[in-house]
Amino acid sequence: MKFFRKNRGAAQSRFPMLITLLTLIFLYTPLVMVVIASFNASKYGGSWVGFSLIWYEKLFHHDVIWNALLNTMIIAFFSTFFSTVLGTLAALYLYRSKSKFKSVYSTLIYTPLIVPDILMGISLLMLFVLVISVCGGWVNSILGINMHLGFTTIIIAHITFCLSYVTMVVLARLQEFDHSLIEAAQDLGASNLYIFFKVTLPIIMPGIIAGALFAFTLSIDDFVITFFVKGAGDTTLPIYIQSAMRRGTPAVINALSVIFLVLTFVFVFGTQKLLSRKKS
Amino acid sequence: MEILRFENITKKYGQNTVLEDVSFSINAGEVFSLLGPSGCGKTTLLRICGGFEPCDSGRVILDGVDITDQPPNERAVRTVFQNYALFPHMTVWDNVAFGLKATGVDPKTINEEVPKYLELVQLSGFENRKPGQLSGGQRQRVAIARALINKPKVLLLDEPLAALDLKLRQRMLIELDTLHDNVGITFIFVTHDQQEAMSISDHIAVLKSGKIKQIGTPTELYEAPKSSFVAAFIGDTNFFEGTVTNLDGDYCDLQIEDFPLLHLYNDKNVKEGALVHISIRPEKFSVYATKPEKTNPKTNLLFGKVEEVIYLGAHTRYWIRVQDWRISVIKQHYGYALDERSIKWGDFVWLSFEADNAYMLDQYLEDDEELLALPDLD
Amino acid sequence: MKLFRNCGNFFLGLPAFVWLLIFYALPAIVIFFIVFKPVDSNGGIGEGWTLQAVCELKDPSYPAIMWRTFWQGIVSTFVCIAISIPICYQLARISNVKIKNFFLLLIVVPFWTNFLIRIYAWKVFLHPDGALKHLLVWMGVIPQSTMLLYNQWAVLAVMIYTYIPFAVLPIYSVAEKFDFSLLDAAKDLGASSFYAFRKVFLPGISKGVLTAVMVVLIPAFGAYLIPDLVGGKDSHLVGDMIARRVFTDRNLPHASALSAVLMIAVFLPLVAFIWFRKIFGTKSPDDAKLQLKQQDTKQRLGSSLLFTSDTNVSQNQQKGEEANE
Repeated sequence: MKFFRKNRGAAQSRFPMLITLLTLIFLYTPLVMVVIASFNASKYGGSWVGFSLIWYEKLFHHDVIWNALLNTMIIAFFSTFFSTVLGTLAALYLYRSKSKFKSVYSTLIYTPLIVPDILMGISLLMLFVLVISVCGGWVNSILGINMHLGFTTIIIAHITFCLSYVTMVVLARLQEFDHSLIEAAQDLGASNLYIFFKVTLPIIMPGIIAGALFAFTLSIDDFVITFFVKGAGDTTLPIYIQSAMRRGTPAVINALSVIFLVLTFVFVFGTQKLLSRKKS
Repeated sequence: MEILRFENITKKYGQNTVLEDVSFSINAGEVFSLLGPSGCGKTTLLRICGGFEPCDSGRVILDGVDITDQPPNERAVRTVFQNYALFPHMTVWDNVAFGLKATGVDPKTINEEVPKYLELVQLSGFENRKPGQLSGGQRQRVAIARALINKPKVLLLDEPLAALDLKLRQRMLIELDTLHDNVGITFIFVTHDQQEAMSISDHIAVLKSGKIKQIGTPTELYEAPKSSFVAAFIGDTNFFEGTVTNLDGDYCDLQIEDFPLLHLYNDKNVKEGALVHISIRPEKFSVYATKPEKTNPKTNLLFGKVEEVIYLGAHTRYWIRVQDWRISVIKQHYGYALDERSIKWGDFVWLSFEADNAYMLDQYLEDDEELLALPDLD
Repeated sequence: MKLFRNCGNFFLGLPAFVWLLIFYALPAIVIFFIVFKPVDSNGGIGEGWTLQAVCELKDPSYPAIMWRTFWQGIVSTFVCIAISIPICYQLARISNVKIKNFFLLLIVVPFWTNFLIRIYAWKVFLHPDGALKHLLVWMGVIPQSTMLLYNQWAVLAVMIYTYIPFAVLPIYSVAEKFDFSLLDAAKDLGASSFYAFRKVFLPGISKGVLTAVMVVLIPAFGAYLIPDLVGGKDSHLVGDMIARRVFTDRNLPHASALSAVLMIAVFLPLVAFIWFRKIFGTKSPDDAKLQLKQQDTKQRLGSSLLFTSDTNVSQNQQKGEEANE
């Protein structure tokens, strides 16, 4: 009797753990399937034909993908840089400001985080179309620049949605920051500029780097907004994958996915390791 | 009459034994304290009693019924948690009513009972406040009312005063005592503060590293500690180590290295030549600036030099060096302290204590000396 | 001098403010402006004003699509949260920090994986010649002719799959701060485990749940890629209708009209959310403090994606603060 009733009062329900494990299975099964499929010699990814690295080889020689990757990186680089600068400044403002305007400001900063991509994409598209149709003509005649949808509009869009994330991450770091350090520096006679560069900046640097990494990942990841504001013929990696997917499940994408997955795992676990080591 | 009994309770966390073969019983209606330093297993014992922690072996008997395997919600035992664990989203009323609602008591009874218990803890009028709007003392009262409303057989209090500041702690201690007198329920009080335990308890169990060192009334523990740990943990004391000589009826002499010969009551009937450890409480000594007349043959008279003086108002602490030993002494100020001829640092003084006022220890550990209050001298 | 410093502070915030005003707030207004413009022959925006785009919303297929967008959003939000609550309860209860962080990472990693690749994985998984199909046919659950892909159930499954991490993170950040001794206290007072869970744990994490509802429901209303890639003819949502109007028909005013509808649909829960917070947030000083902490849930949502352990730090600090009070 005791064997069955052993302290059921103290025993925790196993139900939550069961849900957790089932969810993890749910989350990972499709990913595991892709990994398996990428080593399948079959062209359509269906039944197992045999182990093969042919799709990785094809991927390696796939010029369109490499070109798309290059475009993605260029866009990610510029949008990360500008959004990090703007986002960090905004975070500093939000951290220091005590004015009533702050709530308006933070609404403007935070709502982009949950507004659906498609709304941001289409509204930017509308803006660009409107500006081009209104000003395109005279800009061309005065400055000789032909305004059109392209890398510039993609980068502008990416800066817009990355900015909020950078602000959020940097601000979180700022709020953990011990304000008495600044007072200590002032007490020791440092000027405000000196304090900013020698105290504030080094301390929030991990936050800025984290924000930049976040922005970079989001930029690489983005399909929806890019798709709306890109010009004809501009291809980033997500754009390529999407167009390939509309035609089915081409096996070369399996290989690409696996490489992406591996990079993601290395990246996430790497940052985790790095950070936990720094802490200890 | 016994209400709660622990039988051979053992609890391990991995390799770490938290409780080792703990057995004792508690009488109905008393305040029983579990006293010990942090990590001694007292909270674990309380959690086993409350049903939050399974024990590896042993049994808990409540009023004749084995409750070892009962879940917490079926035990007639309630807990006042250290942080009070009040539900932050509920009002005082809802917090107090929770135990009745959860057990399906009808609303009419709830409406009758809750005001009664709020009144008992003097919180009438606070029904609609939330825990966040109460002071520490008020929160604690809510926690107590909430626990008492189910009419438990035993109320467990886990360091209930730890979160309060000193003055409030003293006041709540008196309130708890009054409350206990009013409700007549057995209280088990877990604390690391010996003063709290001493002032409120009928019996105290002193725990160390998962073992019970001694159980007794506060006076027994203070005056007749069995081990150096109990002697040093409860109050302050002086330890001496020496060899018994010159047996003389109930008395004997103690030969201590680099120290005058002491005349003691041989309460343990120790044989001649045996090595014993004794504990002498600081207040058992009297300090004199001039040599007192030795009226009683059982009075020990020592001569030493004052090394440290700490004036504390009601009394003064001295550390006095007698040959190679430093003795902690407390002097009560019966008279007006300013009128007394004060004893200063560096003065030579006389100490006296009666042979009956030393106590021989069953068990002595050198580590326990660390628990004593010593001045930071070289 | 002080005035100057305040001005300096304002200039810090200015660039991002202007940027968002031009590229975030202004475009939202432009949408409502373009709704009343005619289409021009080459897919741009014509001259003059018209109500044509508004009239086009009367398209007979739209009510069904809007209804589907609505219920799929609600259902996926509900399922995500129903799954996330036990997960977060479990995660918060794990005392070993390493194991806890590992689990949290496992849940977060899919979030970091490229969105398209996650959808792609589902396409492979649900493929007519894929593993799940083979398994289910072999088990006799479905006939060979059943199509797992390109229907609204596939859309719903992928939506849930995508939004689970979004629901887990805000709930977790609150659950982690939850004082589990309250559950002990409830049981001690005679409550059953389930009663304690319902009356104490759920109210305790309600603010996290509210945030989770927000960050799942709003993006779910705007889902576009998922119905576009794994949905079929019967599973269009408002999101992919907008894209269709832009890319297939090149009817920008019509697309704007649909977007305006979506925008309003998104704003309603958002306003309700802010209102809810105000109502439930300022009843007591304690709650007000909680609300302040809540405000950076979103920030923590982001930082916890990157640094799961960072949340622990800030959480410990908060615990410290509470202990000091």
